Amino acid sequence: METVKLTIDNKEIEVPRGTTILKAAKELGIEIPTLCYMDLHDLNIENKPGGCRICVVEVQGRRNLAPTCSTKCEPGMVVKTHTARVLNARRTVMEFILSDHPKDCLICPKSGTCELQDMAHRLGIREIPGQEFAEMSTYRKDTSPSIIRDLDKCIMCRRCETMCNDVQTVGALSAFNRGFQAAVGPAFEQNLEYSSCTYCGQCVAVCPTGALTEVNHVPQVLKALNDPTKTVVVQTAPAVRAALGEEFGMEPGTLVTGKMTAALRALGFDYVFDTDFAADLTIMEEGTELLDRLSRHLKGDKTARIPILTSCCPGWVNFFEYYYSDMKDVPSTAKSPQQMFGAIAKSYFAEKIGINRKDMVVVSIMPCLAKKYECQRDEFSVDGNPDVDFSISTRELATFIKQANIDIRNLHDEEFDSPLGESTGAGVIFGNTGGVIEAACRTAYEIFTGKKLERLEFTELRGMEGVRSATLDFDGTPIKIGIAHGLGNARKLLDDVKNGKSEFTAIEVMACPGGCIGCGGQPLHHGNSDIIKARAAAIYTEDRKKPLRKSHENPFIIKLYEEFLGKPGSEKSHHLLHTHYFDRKDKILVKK
Amino acid sequence: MVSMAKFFLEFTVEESCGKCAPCRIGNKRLHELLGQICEGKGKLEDLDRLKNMSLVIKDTSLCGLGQTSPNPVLSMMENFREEYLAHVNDKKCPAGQCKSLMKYIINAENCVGCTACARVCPVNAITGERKEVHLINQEICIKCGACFEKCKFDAIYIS
Amino acid sequence: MSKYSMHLLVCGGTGCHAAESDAIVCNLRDEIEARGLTDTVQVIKTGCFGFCEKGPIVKVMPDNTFYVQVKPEDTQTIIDEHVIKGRKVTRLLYKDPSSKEAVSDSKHMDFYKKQMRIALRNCGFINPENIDEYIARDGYQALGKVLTEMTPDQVIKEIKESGQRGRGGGGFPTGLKWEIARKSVSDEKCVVCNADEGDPGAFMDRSVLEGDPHSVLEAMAICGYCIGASNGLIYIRAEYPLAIERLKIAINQARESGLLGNKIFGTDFSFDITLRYGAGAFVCGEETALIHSMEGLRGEPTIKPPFPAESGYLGKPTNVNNVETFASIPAIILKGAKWYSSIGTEKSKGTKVFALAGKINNVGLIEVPMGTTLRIAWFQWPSFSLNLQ
Repeated sequence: METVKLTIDNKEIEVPRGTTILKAAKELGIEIPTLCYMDLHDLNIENKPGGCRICVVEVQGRRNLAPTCSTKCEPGMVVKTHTARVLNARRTVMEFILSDHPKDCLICPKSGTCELQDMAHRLGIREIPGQEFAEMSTYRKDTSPSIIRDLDKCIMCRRCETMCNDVQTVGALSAFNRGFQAAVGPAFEQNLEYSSCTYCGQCVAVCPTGALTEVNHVPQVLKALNDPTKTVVVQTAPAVRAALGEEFGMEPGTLVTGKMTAALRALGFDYVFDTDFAADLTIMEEGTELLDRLSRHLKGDKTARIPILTSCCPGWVNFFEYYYSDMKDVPSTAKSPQQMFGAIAKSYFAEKIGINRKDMVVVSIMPCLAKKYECQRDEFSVDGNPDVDFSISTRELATFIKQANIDIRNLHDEEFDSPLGESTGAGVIFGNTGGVIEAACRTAYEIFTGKKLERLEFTELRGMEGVRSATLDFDGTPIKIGIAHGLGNARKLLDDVKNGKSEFTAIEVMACPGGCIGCGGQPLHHGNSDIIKARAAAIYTEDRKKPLRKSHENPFIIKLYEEFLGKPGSEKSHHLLHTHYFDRKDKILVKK
Repeated sequence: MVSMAKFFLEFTVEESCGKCAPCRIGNKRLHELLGQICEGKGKLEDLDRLKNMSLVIKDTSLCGLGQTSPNPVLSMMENFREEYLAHVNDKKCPAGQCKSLMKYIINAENCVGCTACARVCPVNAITGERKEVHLINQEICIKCGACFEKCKFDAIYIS
Repeated sequence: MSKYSMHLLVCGGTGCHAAESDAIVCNLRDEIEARGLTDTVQVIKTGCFGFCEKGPIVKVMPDNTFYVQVKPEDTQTIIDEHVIKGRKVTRLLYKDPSSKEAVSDSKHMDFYKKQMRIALRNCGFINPENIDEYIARDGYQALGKVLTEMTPDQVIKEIKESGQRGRGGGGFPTGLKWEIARKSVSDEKCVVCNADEGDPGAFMDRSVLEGDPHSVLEAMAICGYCIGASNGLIYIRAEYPLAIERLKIAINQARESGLLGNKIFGTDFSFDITLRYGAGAFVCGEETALIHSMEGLRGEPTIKPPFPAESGYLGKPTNVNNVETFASIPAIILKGAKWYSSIGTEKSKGTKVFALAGKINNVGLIEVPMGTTLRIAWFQWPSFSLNLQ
C-alpha cells in the first residue's frame, strides 16, 4: 500500500495514502476534537460535511486552517494541532455555535448525553460574548408519533441527513433555508408525520444535541401503574437487555436480563413478560407462511410469491408501504412480535386471568422508535382499545428506573413471569441483523425436512455486512437467503424483487444498521460502532445460554396453539396474528 | 465606513449557504456587532472582538464566501481606524452615515423661514412660522435627509 | 457590412433595453423604410456599450457619432438631420462633464479612450443575435486555428504563457487549471461556464453574454478540445432572461453553422453546449456549490480537494471558468500569449472588466489593464469623478 509521511505536533508518522489528518493524529494519541464528524466504520457509515470547523488545525504552507476530518494527509505535511491560532479559532467557532443554541441545558432531554455540551465543557467555554444582542434562529417545534424535532437546537452537523438519505434512503430530512436560518427537516418545512419518514429513529440515534429526541411516554405508563383498576403487563424486546446496562455505566455488551426483570417488577408492573415469547410465535406463523408459499411455489403455483420478506420491523414496514406499495403482497402478513404479544395478551392471557381487555394495559420496552407509531396504528386495536398501549424506548426505561430510585446494579436477577415470559434462543436473536431469518430457518428446516437440525448456528447468516446472502441446504432443496440491514441496503434487494431479478427464497430486512441492537431508542452510541458490535455479541451469548433454541420447541407456544389458536395459520391465528398493508402515501394525504 | 462594512456583511449574511458554522453564525454576529457600533452602543474592546471574529471567520470558513466576507471589515478597520474609534469613543459618525449617531440641525443664522423644509418633512418634525427660524424636533425626526436636500440656504447641517 | 454606407448601432443591453431601446430600433427601421433607405442604412441592435449611465445609446457608424439618452421620439430627428442631411444632432451628443462640450466622435470620449477592450471587444459593435457578424470580426477563427493547427498541449502552453488568471475572483491561472483537467483520466469530462454572477452591482458577465455570446461558446469549445471534453454546460442565473435568450440563439446558430456539434471543422472533435439555470444563490458561484446545484442537489460547497478538475459534475473531471475568462480566450489564441502578457502587471496579466455603480457620474462597464488603480479611474478620468454634492 502506498503510504505518506507527515509530521503532526512534531511527531512523525507514516500512514496509508488517503488517511485523514484526524485519523493519523489519533494513531499518535492526539485526540482532535470533532463535532459534526461521525464514523461508524463497521457499518460503513461516515458523516463528514466539514461544517462545524471545530476540528481545524494549522497546516504549514496553507493560508487557512484545515478541517482534519476531511483533509487527507499529504507527503511532508507539517501539522500543528494546538497553536494559539488554532485554539483561538476553535474557541471562537464554538462560541459562535453556542451563541445560536438555546441555553436551557438544565431541562433539555439531551442534558448529560449532549455532545455539544461535552464540547463546550472540553473547550472550557465560560461566557459567550455579545449574547445580549445576539439574535437566535428559531423554528416551529414538530411532534410526530415517535420523534420530536426542536430545530432551535440544530447545529447543522448533518448527521441525521446522512442517516436519512445516504444510509436509509428514506429522504425525509434535508437542509432547508440558507445562511443563519438554515436547518434540517422535511421538504417545505412540513411536519415529519406528512413526510416519507419511517420513524426508524436513526436521526435521533446520531443527533449530537437535543434537536431530535423521542416522544416520552413514561408519564402515561406511570399513570397506568398507579391506577388500581388496571392490570399492567410489560414486554421487553430482545435488544433491550443487551444495551440497558450502558445507561447505568456498565460495559457495552453487558447482559442485564435478570436485573431488568427485577427492576420492572420493582417499578410495579403486574406481569413482566418477554417479547421473545412473541418472537417464537412469529416464527411459527411466519415460518409456516414461508413453507406454505415455498411448497406451492415448488409445485409451480404462480400465485405463490417468492421471496417472502420478513415483517417484524415497523420501520421497514413503513418504508415499503411508502416506497414499494405496489408490492404489498410480498412481505409476510405476520404481525411484528410486539403486536403479536399485545394481541395474545389482551385475548388469551386476559381470558386466562379473567379480566376484560379494557382493564389491561400492555406496555412494551423497545429499542425502537417506530414501535411507538406501530402500536398507534388503527388496525392494531379493538374498538378503539389498542393491543399495545404504550411503547417506551430503552433510554426512557433507564430514566424511569432512575426516577424510581432503583439501583439496578445491585438488584438480584429475577425470572420472567409465565406463560408469556418463556422463550427460546431463537426469540432472543431477533435483536440482531440476520437473527429473524436464522430463527426461522431453525424451525423451517425441521418442519420442511422432518429431520433434526444438528448445527443450530447459521454463522453464514451473521455479520455486519450491509447486504448478505447465503444458500442453505434443506435436505437437497437449496434455500437462498438474503439479509439487509439499513433501509438503503434493503432498497437494493427490493429493487431486484421489483424487477423480477431476485433469486432469493426469503429476505430478512431490519431498518436499522446492526438490527434492533442499533435502533434509535437504544442508549446513544455517539459514533462508536464497537458498542453495536458488543451488543450483537451479547445477544448471541444469551442464545447459547438457553436450554431451548428452536421456537417450535417452546412448550408454552405449543400449549398456546393447543389451548387457543389451533395450529399456525389457522383462522384464529390469522385474525389475531396477521395483518395487511397500506399505501402510506395515500394515508398521509388523507391525514393532511 | 462602518456602515459600509455593515452593508457588505448584510449581503454575505443573506447569501451564506449555512453549511459551515463560522460563515453561518459568525457573519451574523459580525453584522450584529457592527450594528451596535453604528448605533453608538459599541465599546473600545468591541473593536478587538470585531477583528478576532473576522480573522477566525476568514481562517476557518469552508469556501470562498466565508473566507472573504470579513475582508471589508478588516481592511476598513486598518485603513479607517479613526472612523471606528470615533464611533466607539465619541459616539460619532464622521461620514454622517449612521442615523443613530447623527442629527439634522437648523442653523438659525442661515434659516430664512421659507417653510420648504417643514413642507417636505414626511413626519412633520419641523415647526416654525413663516419668515422665522425653524426647528427640528429630534424626537420625531427619522433622519431621512429630505429637509437637508430641500434647503436652498444651507441652513441645515448634520452634526 | 460593405453593402451599407451607414450603420446605426442601438444598444440592446439590459439597461438600455429597459429604457425602450427596442422601440428606438423599431422606429429607426420604420423611418428608414419610409424614406426608402433600406439598402444604404442598416440598424443593428448590439450588446452593451458599457456607458449605461447615459442610455439608451445610438451610435452612428462610420463617423463614430455617439448619441446618448435617446428617446424613441428622437429617431425622426436622427434620420432627418444626421442620416439624410449629414448634420449631427448636437442636443443628443455626449457632453464632457468637465468641459461641458459636446463630443462628436466617441473615440475622443474619455470613457473609451482609456479603456482596453479584450473581453468586451465585440460588445457594442456586433449584433449578438447574428453569428455572421461575430464571424466577420474574426469569430471562430481561434477555434479553427486550435482544431486544425494546434495540439491541446500547445494551446494550454499558450494560455499558460499568456499569464491569464481566472476572472471569477479566485484568480487561479487558467492554463494550469486546464492542464490539471487534461491530465485527469476519464471517459467523459465536462466544461462549465460559470455565469452565476451575483456580486452586488456587478454586471460584467451579463453584458458579455448579452453583447457577445459567441466568444464564450467558442472559448468553451477550445477548452473542451484541450481537456478532452465533449460536453459543455453554462450555469446561468435565471434572472438574466436577455442573456439566456441570446445564448440560446447563439447556440442554435453555432450548431447550424457546424461550429458546435459533431465533428467540428471536419475534425474528430465534437462538442455541444447546454444551459443550466441557477436560482439566484450567491454561493452557487463557488464552483463546487455550482456543480452540486447543476446536479440537482442543495447548492453547498464541499471541501477541496478533490478539485472539480479531478471529480466534478456527476463525478467526472470538470473545468469551471468564468464568463469573462472564456471571453478573452479567442483573443489570446489569435493575438498570442506574448501580446496578452504584455498587458497588466507582473503577477496579473491582461485586462479586467469592472462594473461601475454607486454615486459616480457614469454608471457603466469598463475594461482596463490589470493594475489600474481606482484613483486613476476616478480622479484622472473626469467621466468617473465622484458625484458628491
